[in-house]
Amino acid sequence: MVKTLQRLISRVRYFHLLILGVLLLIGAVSCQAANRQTDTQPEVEATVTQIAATASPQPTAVSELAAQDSDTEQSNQCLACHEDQQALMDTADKVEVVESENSGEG
Amino acid sequence: MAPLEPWEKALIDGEAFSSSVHGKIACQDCHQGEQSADKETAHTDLIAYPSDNPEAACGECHPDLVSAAKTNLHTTLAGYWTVLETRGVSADDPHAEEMFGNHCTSCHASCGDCHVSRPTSVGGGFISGHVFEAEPSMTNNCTACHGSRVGNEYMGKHDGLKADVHFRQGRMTCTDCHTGHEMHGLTANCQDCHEGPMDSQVAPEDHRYDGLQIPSCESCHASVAAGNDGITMHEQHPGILSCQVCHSVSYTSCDGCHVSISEATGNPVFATEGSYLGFYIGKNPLQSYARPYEYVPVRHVPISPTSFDYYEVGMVSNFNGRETWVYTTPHNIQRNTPQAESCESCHGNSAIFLTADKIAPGELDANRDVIVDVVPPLPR
Repeated sequence: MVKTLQRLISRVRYFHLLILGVLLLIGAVSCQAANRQTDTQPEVEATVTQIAATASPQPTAVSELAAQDSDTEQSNQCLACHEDQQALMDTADKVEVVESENSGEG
Repeated sequence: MAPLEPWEKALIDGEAFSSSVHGKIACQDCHQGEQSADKETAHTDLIAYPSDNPEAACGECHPDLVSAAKTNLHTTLAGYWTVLETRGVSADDPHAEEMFGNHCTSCHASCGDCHVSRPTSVGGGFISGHVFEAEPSMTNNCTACHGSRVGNEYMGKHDGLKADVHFRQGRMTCTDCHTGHEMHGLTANCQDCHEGPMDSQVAPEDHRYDGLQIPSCESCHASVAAGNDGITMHEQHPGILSCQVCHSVSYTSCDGCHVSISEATGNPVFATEGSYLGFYIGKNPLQSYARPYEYVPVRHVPISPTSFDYYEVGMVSNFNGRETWVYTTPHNIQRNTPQAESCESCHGNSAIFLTADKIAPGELDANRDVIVDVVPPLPR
Protein backbone atom coordinates (compact mmCIF):
# COMPACT_ATOMS: atom_id res chain seq x y z
CA MET A 1 0.00 0.00 0.00
CA VAL A 2 2.77 2.29 0.94
CA LYS A 3 4.62 1.35 -2.21
CA THR A 4 1.54 2.04 -4.33
CA LEU A 5 1.19 5.43 -2.68
CA GLN A 6 4.87 6.22 -3.30
CA ARG A 7 4.50 5.24 -7.00
CA LEU A 8 1.46 7.52 -7.26
CA ILE A 9 3.28 10.39 -5.64
CA SER A 10 6.21 9.79 -7.91
CA ARG A 11 3.89 9.81 -10.98
CA VAL A 12 2.21 12.93 -9.67
CA ARG A 13 5.66 14.52 -9.26
CA TYR A 14 6.48 13.46 -12.84
CA PHE A 15 3.12 14.76 -13.97
CA HIS A 16 3.81 17.98 -12.19
CA LEU A 17 7.19 18.15 -13.81
CA LEU A 18 5.57 17.29 -17.09
CA ILE A 19 3.07 20.08 -16.66
CA LEU A 20 5.80 22.37 -15.53
CA GLY A 21 7.80 21.44 -18.59
CA VAL A 22 4.83 22.02 -20.87
CA LEU A 23 4.22 25.37 -19.23
CA LEU A 24 7.85 26.30 -19.70
CA LEU A 25 7.65 25.23 -23.31
CA ILE A 26 4.52 27.28 -23.85
CA GLY A 27 6.17 30.14 -22.06
CA ALA A 28 9.23 29.83 -24.24
CA VAL A 29 7.19 29.62 -27.38
CA SER A 30 5.16 32.60 -26.24
CA CYS A 31 8.31 34.56 -25.58
CA GLN A 32 9.67 33.63 -28.96
CA ALA A 33 6.41 34.69 -30.56
CA ALA A 34 6.52 37.87 -28.58
CA ASN A 35 10.11 38.38 -29.65
CA ARG A 36 9.08 37.72 -33.24
CA GLN A 37 6.37 40.34 -32.91
CA THR A 38 8.86 42.79 -31.46
CA ASP A 39 11.31 42.05 -34.30
CA THR A 40 8.61 42.54 -36.95
CA GLN A 41 7.43 45.88 -35.65
CA PRO A 42 10.32 47.97 -36.97
CA GLU A 43 9.90 46.33 -40.37
CA VAL A 44 6.30 47.43 -40.45
CA GLU A 45 7.28 50.84 -39.27
CA ALA A 46 10.01 50.91 -41.89
CA THR A 47 7.51 49.89 -44.53
CA VAL A 48 5.12 52.60 -43.42
CA THR A 49 7.95 55.06 -43.43
CA GLN A 50 8.92 53.81 -46.84
CA ILE A 51 5.38 54.20 -48.11
CA ALA A 52 5.30 57.58 -46.54
CA ALA A 53 8.59 58.36 -48.23
CA THR A 54 7.31 57.03 -51.53
CA ALA A 55 4.14 58.93 -51.07
CA SER A 56 5.95 62.09 -50.20
CA PRO A 57 5.66 63.51 -53.79
CA GLN A 58 1.94 63.53 -53.29
CA PRO A 59 2.00 66.49 -50.99
CA THR A 60 4.45 68.12 -53.43
CA ALA A 61 2.11 67.38 -56.31
CA VAL A 62 -0.70 68.87 -54.35
CA SER A 63 1.39 71.91 -53.68
CA GLU A 64 2.17 72.11 -57.41
CA LEU A 65 -1.49 71.92 -58.16
CA ALA A 66 -2.03 74.60 -55.62
CA ALA A 67 0.65 76.62 -57.34
CA GLN A 68 -1.02 76.00 -60.67
CA ASP A 69 -4.29 77.07 -59.21
CA SER A 70 -2.50 80.10 -57.96
CA ASP A 71 -1.14 80.69 -61.47
CA THR A 72 -4.59 80.29 -62.89
CA GLU A 73 -5.86 82.74 -60.38
CA GLN A 74 -3.07 85.05 -61.41
CA SER A 75 -3.91 84.43 -65.06
CA ASN A 76 -7.44 85.24 -64.23
CA GLN A 77 -6.26 88.62 -63.12
CA CYS A 78 -5.35 89.26 -66.73
CA LEU A 79 -8.57 87.71 -67.93
CA ALA A 80 -10.60 89.45 -65.28
CA CYS A 81 -9.90 92.72 -67.02
CA HIS A 82 -9.57 91.58 -70.60
CA GLU A 83 -12.86 89.73 -70.72
CA ASP A 84 -14.70 92.56 -69.03
CA GLN A 85 -15.88 94.91 -71.73
CA GLN A 86 -16.83 97.66 -69.33
CA ALA A 87 -13.48 97.48 -67.56
CA LEU A 88 -11.68 97.78 -70.87
CA MET A 89 -13.85 100.71 -71.88
CA ASP A 90 -13.19 102.42 -68.57
CA THR A 91 -9.45 101.97 -68.70
CA ALA A 92 -8.83 102.38 -72.43
CA ASP A 93 -6.38 105.06 -73.43
CA LYS A 94 -8.03 107.91 -75.22
CA VAL A 95 -7.29 107.70 -78.90
CA GLU A 96 -6.95 110.91 -80.80
CA VAL A 97 -8.53 110.55 -84.20
CA VAL A 98 -5.86 111.57 -86.67
CA GLU A 99 -7.00 112.44 -90.14
CA SER A 100 -5.02 110.51 -92.69
CA GLU A 101 -2.50 112.69 -94.42
CA ASN A 102 -2.07 110.22 -97.23
CA SER A 103 -3.54 111.07 -100.57
CA GLY A 104 -4.48 108.75 -103.36
CA GLU A 105 -4.77 105.00 -103.33
CA GLY A 106 -2.24 103.11 -101.23
CA MET B 1 -11.65 98.78 -93.13
CA ALA B 2 -13.06 100.55 -90.12
CA PRO B 3 -10.71 100.31 -87.14
CA LEU B 4 -11.85 98.55 -84.00
CA GLU B 5 -12.60 100.48 -80.83
CA PRO B 6 -9.67 100.41 -78.37
CA TRP B 7 -11.56 98.19 -75.92
CA GLU B 8 -12.68 95.96 -78.75
CA LYS B 9 -9.11 95.34 -79.79
CA ALA B 10 -8.21 93.90 -76.40
CA LEU B 11 -11.42 92.07 -75.49
CA ILE B 12 -10.76 88.38 -74.80
CA ASP B 13 -13.41 85.72 -75.15
CA GLY B 14 -12.46 84.16 -71.83
CA GLU B 15 -14.52 81.01 -72.19
CA ALA B 16 -13.49 80.19 -75.73
CA PHE B 17 -9.86 81.14 -75.23
CA SER B 18 -9.46 79.30 -71.95
CA SER B 19 -10.76 76.10 -73.49
CA SER B 20 -8.39 76.38 -76.45
CA VAL B 21 -4.89 74.92 -76.56
CA HIS B 22 -3.23 78.31 -76.32
CA GLY B 23 -5.48 79.16 -73.42
CA LYS B 24 -3.61 76.58 -71.34
CA ILE B 25 -0.52 78.76 -71.45
CA ALA B 26 -0.21 81.37 -68.73
CA CYS B 27 -0.61 84.92 -70.03
CA GLN B 28 2.79 85.98 -68.75
CA ASP B 29 4.57 83.17 -70.54
CA CYS B 30 4.01 85.08 -73.77
CA HIS B 31 3.23 88.62 -72.72
CA GLN B 32 5.31 89.07 -69.58
CA GLY B 33 3.98 92.09 -67.68
CA GLU B 34 3.05 91.76 -64.03
CA GLN B 35 0.11 90.32 -62.17
CA SER B 36 -1.92 93.20 -60.89
CA ALA B 37 -5.41 94.56 -61.02
CA ASP B 38 -3.89 97.93 -61.79
CA LYS B 39 -3.48 98.43 -65.52
CA GLU B 40 -0.23 100.37 -65.41
CA THR B 41 1.40 97.87 -63.10
CA ALA B 42 0.04 94.90 -65.02
CA HIS B 43 1.45 96.27 -68.26
CA THR B 44 4.95 96.84 -66.94
CA ASP B 45 7.37 95.46 -69.55
CA LEU B 46 4.39 94.07 -71.43
CA ILE B 47 5.08 92.37 -74.74
CA ALA B 48 1.97 93.26 -76.69
CA TYR B 49 3.00 91.36 -79.83
CA PRO B 50 4.88 88.24 -78.70
CA SER B 51 5.20 86.81 -82.20
CA ASP B 52 7.43 89.71 -83.20
CA ASN B 53 9.98 87.31 -81.74
CA PRO B 54 8.60 84.09 -83.24
CA GLU B 55 11.42 81.87 -82.03
CA ALA B 56 10.65 82.73 -78.42
CA ALA B 57 6.88 82.91 -78.64
CA CYS B 58 5.96 80.21 -81.13
CA GLY B 59 9.09 78.20 -81.85
CA GLU B 60 8.82 75.70 -79.03
CA CYS B 61 5.63 74.17 -80.41
CA HIS B 62 5.85 75.20 -84.07
CA PRO B 63 9.55 74.87 -84.91
CA ASP B 64 9.08 74.07 -88.61
CA LEU B 65 6.84 77.04 -89.25
CA VAL B 66 9.03 79.43 -87.32
CA SER B 67 12.11 78.15 -89.08
CA ALA B 68 10.49 78.64 -92.48
CA ALA B 69 9.36 82.12 -91.50
CA LYS B 70 12.95 83.33 -91.69
CA THR B 71 12.71 83.25 -95.48
CA ASN B 72 9.00 83.89 -95.77
CA LEU B 73 8.14 86.93 -97.88
CA HIS B 74 5.51 87.99 -95.36
CA THR B 75 8.22 88.14 -92.74
CA THR B 76 11.21 89.36 -94.65
CA LEU B 77 9.53 91.68 -97.17
CA ALA B 78 12.33 90.58 -99.47
CA GLY B 79 10.09 91.13 -102.47
CA TYR B 80 10.21 94.88 -101.85
CA TRP B 81 13.99 94.91 -101.75
CA THR B 82 14.14 92.80 -104.91
CA VAL B 83 12.27 95.40 -106.94
CA LEU B 84 13.90 98.36 -105.19
CA GLU B 85 17.40 97.09 -105.82
CA THR B 86 16.76 96.44 -109.51
CA ARG B 87 15.84 100.11 -109.68
CA GLY B 88 19.05 101.16 -107.98
CA VAL B 89 17.88 101.57 -104.39
CA SER B 90 20.57 99.97 -102.28
CA ALA B 91 19.75 98.22 -99.02
CA ASP B 92 23.13 99.42 -97.78
CA ASP B 93 22.14 103.06 -98.21
CA PRO B 94 21.14 104.41 -94.77
CA HIS B 95 18.67 106.81 -96.42
CA ALA B 96 17.02 103.86 -98.16
CA GLU B 97 17.00 101.95 -94.92
CA GLU B 98 15.29 104.86 -93.18
CA MET B 99 12.75 105.18 -95.98
CA PHE B 100 12.05 101.46 -95.87
CA GLY B 101 11.62 101.54 -92.11
CA ASN B 102 9.19 104.43 -92.25
CA HIS B 103 7.04 103.35 -95.16
CA CYS B 104 7.45 99.65 -95.85
CA THR B 105 8.08 97.64 -92.71
CA SER B 106 4.57 98.13 -91.40
CA CYS B 107 3.55 95.59 -94.02
CA HIS B 108 5.63 92.93 -92.29
CA ALA B 109 3.32 90.20 -91.02
CA SER B 110 4.05 88.22 -87.87
CA CYS B 111 2.38 84.97 -86.80
CA GLY B 112 -0.09 86.94 -84.70
CA ASP B 113 -0.97 89.27 -87.56
CA CYS B 114 -2.53 86.32 -89.36
CA HIS B 115 -3.66 84.01 -86.57
CA VAL B 116 -4.64 86.21 -83.62
CA SER B 117 -5.18 89.83 -84.59
CA ARG B 118 -5.77 92.11 -87.44
CA PRO B 119 -2.41 93.19 -88.84
CA THR B 120 -0.74 96.02 -86.95
CA SER B 121 -0.63 98.01 -90.19
CA VAL B 122 -4.41 98.48 -89.88
CA GLY B 123 -4.42 99.09 -86.16
CA GLY B 124 -4.52 95.52 -84.87
CA GLY B 125 -7.16 94.08 -82.54
CA PHE B 126 -8.22 90.53 -81.77
CA ILE B 127 -10.25 88.86 -84.50
CA SER B 128 -11.78 86.10 -82.36
CA GLY B 129 -11.36 87.23 -78.79
CA HIS B 130 -7.70 86.13 -78.72
CA VAL B 131 -8.60 82.62 -79.86
CA PHE B 132 -5.87 81.52 -82.24
CA GLU B 133 -7.33 80.81 -85.65
CA ALA B 134 -5.50 78.23 -87.74
CA GLU B 135 -7.02 79.70 -90.87
CA PRO B 136 -6.70 83.47 -91.29
CA SER B 137 -9.83 85.48 -91.98
CA MET B 138 -10.08 86.77 -95.54
CA THR B 139 -11.35 90.20 -94.56
CA ASN B 140 -9.75 90.69 -91.15
CA ASN B 141 -6.35 89.40 -92.13
CA CYS B 142 -5.63 88.94 -95.83
CA THR B 143 -7.42 91.84 -97.44
CA ALA B 144 -6.65 94.08 -94.46
CA CYS B 145 -3.27 94.41 -96.17
CA HIS B 146 -4.03 93.23 -99.69
CA GLY B 147 -7.14 95.32 -99.97
CA SER B 148 -6.81 98.13 -102.45
CA ARG B 149 -6.05 95.86 -105.37
CA VAL B 150 -6.63 92.17 -104.55
CA GLY B 151 -9.43 92.66 -102.04
CA ASN B 152 -11.41 95.17 -104.03
CA GLU B 153 -11.05 93.20 -107.22
CA TYR B 154 -11.82 89.82 -105.69
CA MET B 155 -14.92 91.02 -103.86
CA GLY B 156 -16.20 93.15 -106.72
CA LYS B 157 -15.99 96.52 -105.04
CA HIS B 158 -15.40 98.47 -108.22
CA ASP B 159 -18.48 99.92 -109.84
CA GLY B 160 -19.66 97.87 -112.76
CA LEU B 161 -17.24 95.02 -112.19
CA LYS B 162 -18.35 91.69 -110.85
CA ALA B 163 -16.60 89.91 -108.04
CA ASP B 164 -14.22 87.12 -108.96
CA VAL B 165 -16.16 84.02 -109.99
CA HIS B 166 -14.33 81.99 -107.37
CA PHE B 167 -15.80 84.29 -104.73
CA ARG B 168 -19.13 85.03 -106.34
CA GLN B 169 -20.07 81.47 -107.17
CA GLY B 170 -17.58 79.36 -105.32
CA ARG B 171 -17.56 81.40 -102.10
CA MET B 172 -13.88 80.63 -101.99
CA THR B 173 -11.66 82.54 -99.60
CA CYS B 174 -7.97 83.32 -99.97
CA THR B 175 -6.85 80.20 -98.15
CA ASP B 176 -8.66 77.93 -100.55
CA CYS B 177 -5.89 78.66 -103.05
CA HIS B 178 -3.14 80.17 -100.90
CA THR B 179 -2.51 77.30 -98.54
CA GLY B 180 -0.64 77.41 -95.28
CA HIS B 181 2.19 75.61 -97.03
CA GLU B 182 2.62 78.55 -99.39
CA MET B 183 1.94 81.22 -96.80
CA HIS B 184 4.53 79.89 -94.38
CA GLY B 185 7.11 79.62 -97.14
CA LEU B 186 7.59 75.93 -96.52
CA THR B 187 9.68 74.11 -99.06
CA ALA B 188 7.30 72.45 -101.43
CA ASN B 189 7.80 68.85 -102.35
CA CYS B 190 7.51 69.90 -105.98
CA GLN B 191 8.39 66.52 -107.39
CA ASP B 192 5.03 65.23 -106.28
CA CYS B 193 3.35 67.30 -108.96
CA HIS B 194 5.98 68.74 -111.29
CA GLU B 195 8.58 67.39 -113.61
CA GLY B 196 11.17 69.45 -115.39
CA PRO B 197 14.13 71.72 -114.82
CA MET B 198 12.51 73.50 -111.91
CA ASP B 199 11.21 70.50 -110.09
CA SER B 200 13.46 71.11 -107.14
CA GLN B 201 12.43 74.73 -106.79
CA VAL B 202 11.58 75.76 -103.30
CA ALA B 203 9.16 78.45 -102.18
CA PRO B 204 10.37 81.80 -103.55
CA GLU B 205 12.44 83.93 -101.22
CA ASP B 206 13.06 87.00 -103.35
CA HIS B 207 9.76 87.80 -105.01
CA ARG B 208 6.34 86.26 -105.21
CA TYR B 209 6.66 85.67 -108.94
CA ASP B 210 9.95 83.82 -108.61
CA GLY B 211 9.88 80.07 -108.92
CA LEU B 212 6.86 77.94 -109.58
CA GLN B 213 3.35 79.28 -109.77
CA ILE B 214 1.95 78.55 -106.36
CA PRO B 215 -0.97 78.50 -106.53
CA SER B 216 -1.70 77.91 -110.19
CA CYS B 217 -5.00 77.80 -112.03
CA GLU B 218 -3.93 74.52 -113.59
CA SER B 219 -3.89 72.86 -110.18
CA CYS B 220 -7.68 72.75 -110.34
CA HIS B 221 -8.35 73.29 -114.05
CA ALA B 222 -6.13 70.52 -115.33
CA SER B 223 -8.13 69.74 -118.44
CA VAL B 224 -7.98 73.39 -119.49
CA ALA B 225 -4.22 73.42 -119.13
CA ALA B 226 -3.98 70.25 -121.17
CA GLY B 227 -6.15 71.82 -123.87
CA ASN B 228 -8.51 68.87 -123.91
CA ASP B 229 -11.62 70.43 -122.45
CA GLY B 230 -13.22 70.93 -125.85
CA ILE B 231 -13.00 74.72 -125.83
CA THR B 232 -11.45 76.02 -129.02
CA MET B 233 -9.90 79.09 -127.37
CA HIS B 234 -7.97 76.85 -124.98
CA GLU B 235 -6.85 74.58 -127.79
CA GLN B 236 -5.72 77.54 -129.89
CA HIS B 237 -3.61 79.27 -127.22
CA PRO B 238 -1.72 76.52 -125.44
CA GLY B 239 0.84 78.09 -123.13
CA ILE B 240 0.89 81.35 -125.09
CA LEU B 241 -1.47 83.28 -122.86
CA SER B 242 -1.68 83.35 -119.12
CA CYS B 243 -5.15 82.44 -117.91
CA GLN B 244 -5.76 86.04 -116.83
CA VAL B 245 -5.33 87.35 -120.38
CA CYS B 246 -8.71 85.94 -121.27
CA HIS B 247 -10.38 85.64 -117.88
CA SER B 248 -9.49 88.84 -116.06
CA VAL B 249 -11.27 92.16 -116.33
CA SER B 250 -10.24 95.74 -115.51
CA TYR B 251 -8.01 96.17 -112.50
CA THR B 252 -6.38 99.03 -110.63
CA SER B 253 -3.18 100.72 -111.70
CA CYS B 254 -1.50 103.58 -109.86
CA ASP B 255 0.88 106.36 -110.83
CA GLY B 256 3.53 108.46 -109.14
CA CYS B 257 3.78 107.55 -105.48
CA HIS B 258 5.91 109.81 -103.31
CA VAL B 259 6.69 109.21 -99.68
CA SER B 260 7.71 111.67 -97.00
CA ILE B 261 7.35 112.58 -93.34
CA SER B 262 4.54 114.96 -92.45
CA GLU B 263 5.77 118.30 -91.13
CA ALA B 264 2.56 118.66 -89.13
CA THR B 265 2.50 115.33 -87.34
CA GLY B 266 5.80 113.65 -88.01
CA ASN B 267 3.99 110.64 -89.44
CA PRO B 268 5.06 108.84 -92.60
CA VAL B 269 2.78 109.77 -95.47
CA PHE B 270 2.39 108.91 -99.12
CA ALA B 271 0.73 110.56 -102.05
CA THR B 272 -0.15 108.90 -105.34
CA GLU B 273 -0.80 110.99 -108.40
CA GLY B 274 -3.60 108.83 -109.67
CA SER B 275 -5.25 105.45 -109.79
CA TYR B 276 -7.44 104.10 -112.51
CA LEU B 277 -9.01 100.94 -113.83
CA GLY B 278 -7.82 99.39 -117.04
CA PHE B 279 -6.89 96.19 -118.77
CA TYR B 280 -3.80 95.83 -120.92
CA ILE B 281 -2.07 92.85 -122.41
CA GLY B 282 1.69 93.13 -122.54
CA LYS B 283 4.65 90.92 -123.33
CA ASN B 284 5.62 88.66 -120.45
CA PRO B 285 8.70 90.12 -118.73
CA LEU B 286 9.13 87.03 -116.56
CA GLN B 287 9.06 84.36 -119.26
CA SER B 288 10.38 81.14 -117.79
CA TYR B 289 9.69 77.44 -117.47
CA ALA B 290 7.09 78.19 -114.80
CA ARG B 291 5.60 81.16 -116.71
CA PRO B 292 6.06 80.36 -120.38
CA TYR B 293 3.39 82.74 -121.63
CA GLU B 294 4.15 85.19 -124.38
CA TYR B 295 1.41 87.55 -123.24
CA VAL B 296 0.17 88.47 -119.78
CA PRO B 297 -1.90 91.29 -118.29
CA VAL B 298 0.28 94.14 -117.04
CA ARG B 299 -0.46 96.60 -114.26
CA HIS B 300 1.16 99.99 -113.70
CA VAL B 301 2.91 100.33 -110.35
CA PRO B 302 3.34 103.81 -108.87
CA ILE B 303 7.12 103.98 -108.85
CA SER B 304 8.56 107.26 -110.10
CA PRO B 305 12.15 108.44 -110.55
CA THR B 306 11.52 110.84 -107.67
CA SER B 307 9.47 108.58 -105.37
CA PHE B 308 12.02 108.67 -102.56
CA ASP B 309 13.61 112.06 -103.15
CA TYR B 310 12.42 113.23 -99.73
CA TYR B 311 15.06 110.95 -98.27
CA GLU B 312 17.73 111.27 -100.91
CA VAL B 313 17.53 112.92 -104.30
CA GLY B 314 18.19 110.34 -106.96
CA MET B 315 17.73 107.32 -104.70
CA VAL B 316 16.00 105.57 -107.61
CA SER B 317 19.22 105.64 -109.56
CA ASN B 318 18.25 102.98 -112.10
CA PHE B 319 14.63 103.73 -112.88
CA ASN B 320 14.88 101.81 -116.14
CA GLY B 321 16.10 98.68 -114.38
CA ARG B 322 12.63 97.28 -114.15
CA GLU B 323 9.38 97.85 -116.00
CA THR B 324 6.67 100.05 -114.52
CA TRP B 325 3.98 97.99 -116.24
CA VAL B 326 4.49 94.76 -114.37
CA TYR B 327 3.40 91.15 -114.70
CA THR B 328 0.16 90.81 -112.81
CA THR B 329 -2.38 88.21 -111.83
CA PRO B 330 -5.59 90.15 -111.16
CA HIS B 331 -7.98 88.49 -108.75
CA ASN B 332 -11.15 89.22 -110.69
CA ILE B 333 -11.51 86.10 -112.79
CA GLN B 334 -14.63 85.75 -114.92
CA ARG B 335 -15.68 82.95 -117.20
CA ASN B 336 -16.90 85.41 -119.81
CA THR B 337 -14.97 88.60 -120.47
CA PRO B 338 -15.05 91.27 -123.18
CA GLN B 339 -11.75 90.13 -124.66
CA ALA B 340 -12.90 86.51 -124.84
CA GLU B 341 -16.06 87.27 -126.78
CA SER B 342 -14.52 86.79 -130.19
CA CYS B 343 -11.21 86.48 -131.98
CA GLU B 344 -11.47 90.13 -133.07
CA SER B 345 -11.65 91.25 -129.45
CA CYS B 346 -7.90 90.78 -129.28
CA HIS B 347 -6.53 90.06 -132.72
CA GLY B 348 -5.99 93.33 -134.49
CA ASN B 349 -7.38 95.32 -131.56
CA SER B 350 -4.55 97.57 -130.44
CA ALA B 351 -6.71 99.15 -127.73
CA ILE B 352 -6.33 96.13 -125.52
CA PHE B 353 -2.56 95.79 -125.87
CA LEU B 354 0.12 97.79 -124.10
CA THR B 355 1.49 99.63 -127.09
CA ALA B 356 4.10 102.38 -126.87
CA ASP B 357 1.56 105.15 -127.29
CA LYS B 358 0.00 104.22 -123.93
CA ILE B 359 3.22 104.68 -122.02
CA ALA B 360 4.52 107.92 -120.53
CA PRO B 361 7.53 109.11 -122.53
CA GLY B 362 9.83 108.88 -119.52
CA GLU B 363 8.95 105.25 -118.99
CA LEU B 364 9.44 103.88 -122.48
CA ASP B 365 12.88 102.52 -121.82
CA ALA B 366 11.86 100.89 -118.55
CA ASN B 367 9.05 99.08 -120.33
CA ARG B 368 10.92 97.94 -123.41
CA ASP B 369 10.37 94.27 -122.49
CA VAL B 370 6.61 94.51 -122.08
CA ILE B 371 5.61 96.84 -124.90
CA VAL B 372 3.70 95.10 -127.68
CA ASP B 373 5.24 96.37 -130.89
CA VAL B 374 3.05 94.40 -133.25
CA VAL B 375 -0.51 93.60 -132.31
CA PRO B 376 -1.25 89.99 -133.25
CA PRO B 377 -3.30 90.05 -136.44
CA LEU B 378 -6.38 87.99 -137.03
CA PRO B 379 -5.26 84.56 -138.25
CA ARG B 380 -6.20 83.74 -141.82
